[in-house]
Amino acid sequence: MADYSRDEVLAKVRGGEKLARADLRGLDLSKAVLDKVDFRRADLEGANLEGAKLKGANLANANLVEAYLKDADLRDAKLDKADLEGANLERANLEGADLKRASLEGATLTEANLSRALVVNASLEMADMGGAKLEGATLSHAEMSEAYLGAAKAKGADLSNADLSRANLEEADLTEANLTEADLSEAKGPGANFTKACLQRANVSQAVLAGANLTGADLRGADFTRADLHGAKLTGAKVFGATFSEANLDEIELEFIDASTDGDGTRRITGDAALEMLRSGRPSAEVPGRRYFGKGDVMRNAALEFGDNSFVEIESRFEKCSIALGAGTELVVGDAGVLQSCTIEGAGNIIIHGRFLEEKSPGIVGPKRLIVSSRGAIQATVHQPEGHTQFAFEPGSRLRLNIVRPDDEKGR
Amino acid sequence: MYTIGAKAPVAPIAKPVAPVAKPTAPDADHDDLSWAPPPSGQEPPVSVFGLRRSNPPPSPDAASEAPLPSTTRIEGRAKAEVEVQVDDADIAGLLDDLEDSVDALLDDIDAGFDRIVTSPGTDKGTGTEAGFTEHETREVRELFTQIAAGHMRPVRDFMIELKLGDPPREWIDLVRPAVSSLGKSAEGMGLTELRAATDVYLEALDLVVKSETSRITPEQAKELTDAFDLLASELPGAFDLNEERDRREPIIVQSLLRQVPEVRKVALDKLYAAGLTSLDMYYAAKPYDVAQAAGLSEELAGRIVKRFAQYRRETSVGAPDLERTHEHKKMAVLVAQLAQQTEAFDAASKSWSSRATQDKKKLRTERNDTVLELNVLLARLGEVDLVKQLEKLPFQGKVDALRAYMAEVKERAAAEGRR
Repeated sequence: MADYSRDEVLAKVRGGEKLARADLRGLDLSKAVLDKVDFRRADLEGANLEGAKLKGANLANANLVEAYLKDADLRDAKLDKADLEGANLERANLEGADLKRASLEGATLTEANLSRALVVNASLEMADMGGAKLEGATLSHAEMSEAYLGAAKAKGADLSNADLSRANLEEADLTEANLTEADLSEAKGPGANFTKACLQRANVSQAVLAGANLTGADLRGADFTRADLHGAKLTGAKVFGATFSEANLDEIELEFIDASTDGDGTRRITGDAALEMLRSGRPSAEVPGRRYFGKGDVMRNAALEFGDNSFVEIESRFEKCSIALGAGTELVVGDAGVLQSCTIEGAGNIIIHGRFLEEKSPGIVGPKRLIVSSRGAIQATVHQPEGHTQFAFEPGSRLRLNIVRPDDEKGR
Repeated sequence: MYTIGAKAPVAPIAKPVAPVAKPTAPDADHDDLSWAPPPSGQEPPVSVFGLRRSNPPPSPDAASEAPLPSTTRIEGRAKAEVEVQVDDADIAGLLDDLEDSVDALLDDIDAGFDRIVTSPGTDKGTGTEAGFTEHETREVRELFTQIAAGHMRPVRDFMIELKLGDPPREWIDLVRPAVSSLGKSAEGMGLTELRAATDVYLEALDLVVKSETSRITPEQAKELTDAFDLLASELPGAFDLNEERDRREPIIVQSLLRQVPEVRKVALDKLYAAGLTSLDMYYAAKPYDVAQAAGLSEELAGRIVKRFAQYRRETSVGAPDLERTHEHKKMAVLVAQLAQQTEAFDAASKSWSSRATQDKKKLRTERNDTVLELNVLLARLGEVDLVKQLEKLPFQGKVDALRAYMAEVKERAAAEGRR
């Protein structure tokens, strides 16, 4: 039983009283004017707040489980850590609202306006966000597995590190959205628009993105293993380090791709070569400056030098070799590649899926970037150049590293 | 006590209608047969449960306190099996009560009209012939229409079922006596055109009876609809269907669509944009047609068409009766199912185990599906306001409201039995 009746609540609001911690369960407050009211930690479970005016209200930590908030005005409301599980927020206006760490599990947000809302670390599992407005919203690290985002308008939204596994993104507009390191595994996004979106290092494995528009999207380091990209548009996509193994690439629209490390368009691959690169995961033989050392070969005591902006992939075994990399050169040690007692020197980018095991220290000198994937292993001392090295280590990578600063010969 | 539409005091129509008597208000209390909301303008005030409250409510736990002697197994859409306990004894009692009351209710129809046409001074002739003023005649006719509106409910229900589904032929056994009685009364009132219209409608019913087809064919349905339109033009106050159908059909269509996996906002918008908004469209359509019109995959369109065909089959089984016993029996099962799913969901919510998390997800989907099924059923019964009220309630509130509704159904049936 609620502490107060509707009339008592309205009287308190008129008198400027707080309703923090009040027990208001199941109360009918539909269409009530409750702007800027303090409802912190109030219990509003199952309350009817249909069309209520709650602009700027403080509902932090409030219990709004299964509350009915259809058409409610919650602009700039504070809802951080509020429990909105199973709540109905259809067409609610949450523009600029603070929903940090809020629980919206199974909530209905159909056509709700979440523009500029802060939804960081919120739980939105199985939430229905069909047609919701998410322009400029921040949903980084949000749990959104199995959520429905069909026809959602999320242009420029920040969904970095969000869990969107098994989510439905059909025909959603994610133009210029930030999906860096997001988990989109097994997501369904037929017809979704990812134009110029950033999906760097995103997990898109087994996702269904048939007919999706990925024009100009940044897919560097993303995993599209067994993804369905049938009929998708990939022209201008930045694909360095992306994996498309066993992906369905039938009838994709592809005029060119950007295979440069920095995604700056300096390595543009066109036509069949581009498709071949996506299918095989590496540039085709026609690409100038490409060197490939295949499986089964062994090379010992060799000195290899690669010019600027080359692409080198090693699936062989190298022993006691010295490798010099020109500026912008990419050296990929494939899954089967092993560099035993070798040294690498130069301002290149090194990506290790296989193994690098040094004997003489430092094994690696002056790299611009060093990435070790989840499958890779490295035992080495890395001497950084002036301006430092960019490091990226995927979870699961095996590391025994001694990183030496350019001004610190002692290492750390 | 909660009352649906109305009940008990039959007194108003038991009183002779004097020529100068003020017409009784179109109160649902006169509508002994009313289940669905009466026609436009006659709807009783709706309580939180979509029902009218005249006395303190029964214990909300009344249904759950009753013995649960048997178990019914239901296979849900998600292929999850849910065991639901249903009070079969209660349902059997409900059935018996309703069957006993049907004859008495039909007798009331004749009696109701007889009271008008044999009122002092009417001499079984027309009002004016019996010496009524024009004003008095109009009042008597208005009263006639009001009573007919209540007593023709089975006819309206039948015609709505005919529009929304594939009703069994047994409906004719309910409809025929009501229309026949209306025809006789119309004759007594001197309403010759109405009498002629009832004859046309009865002929259309006879054609169905004589045809020996297992179902009502589209041609027969058209005959019935044309004949019904004639009735409605003569007595619009008693036979106006459009508003009622317009309230029920969108709920049924949307609930059926949402029961199809993968039909969410995007697909719904496409279907509605293509004008696919009525049941008969889905009954008639081929998957290819739906796919082409709405821009959906043929596979999804096939599932949609299949769901509507299944619904049509569902509406064609079960012997009809005035109190819609078949639908209420099904509702009792669904309410019990929803109660159990809600209870299991709450239990899973209290646990942190991964198993409980999975259960919770499954139950969330299942109870949403159950609500959709209930929406379809309630809309068919004309309980559109109750559907709208349920939407605003949390799940336990939905269960409580539905139990109160079922308790009222039971009480009303018992009252009819006593009469």
